[in-house]
Amino acid sequence: MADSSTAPRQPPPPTAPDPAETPVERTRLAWRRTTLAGSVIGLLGLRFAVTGRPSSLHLVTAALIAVGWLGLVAVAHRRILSLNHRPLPGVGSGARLLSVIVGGFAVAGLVLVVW
Amino acid sequence: MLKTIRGWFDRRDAAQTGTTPDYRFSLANERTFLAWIRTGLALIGGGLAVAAFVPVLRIPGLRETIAIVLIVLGGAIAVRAVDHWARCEQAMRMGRPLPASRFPAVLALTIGLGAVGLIVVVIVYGTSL
Repeated sequence: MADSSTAPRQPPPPTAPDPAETPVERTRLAWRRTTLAGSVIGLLGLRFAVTGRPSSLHLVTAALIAVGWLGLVAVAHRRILSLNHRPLPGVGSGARLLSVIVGGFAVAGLVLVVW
Repeated sequence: MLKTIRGWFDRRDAAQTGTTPDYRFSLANERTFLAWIRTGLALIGGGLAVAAFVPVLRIPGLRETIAIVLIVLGGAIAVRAVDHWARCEQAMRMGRPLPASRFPAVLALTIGLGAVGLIVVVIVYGTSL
């Protein structure tokens, strides 16, 4: 009796080359680099906020940094997923959100340094 | 309120004017924007690092001032990045030349002057800082 699991595997049929692949790949990598940079800065801010005997202001700031980092990861992940769609959607609100989050990191850093 | 927040995640572009540019140009614009964001992040990180790891300096408040300047600069870059990205996208849609910007030169000069200033401070005060 023929058993399909023992039949030799067929190679996947060749697909037409996707002309968008290289710039899309570069954009995907750019988002990953940005997530990495944002994670490093988020960790630096968190570390600064919780060292010693942190005031409640520092603890709240630390929580907001964590929320901002989650937002960064969410925005980047959403955009990276959308890069797989054809036709390519624009980045839309992701760019504005990212600027708000990084601006928020700056405000958090100021709060941590001044108070 | 919920509608406003949902609008932040709206995929459709807010201003659908002009003609959609070649996707490669839009992606290049996006990568440039992300590079500016990383520059802003690096400056914010630099400011945090100065505040966290540099010991208290002899000039009162100098360490905090340096940290604040770096962080403010980083935040300003992040905000300016999205504005430049949007204006470039708009220019590409309308078939206009990309907006000229003095910002990279201004930033380079500011950081260069800051570095020179730090060198002067270190030389003048030596290791007694």
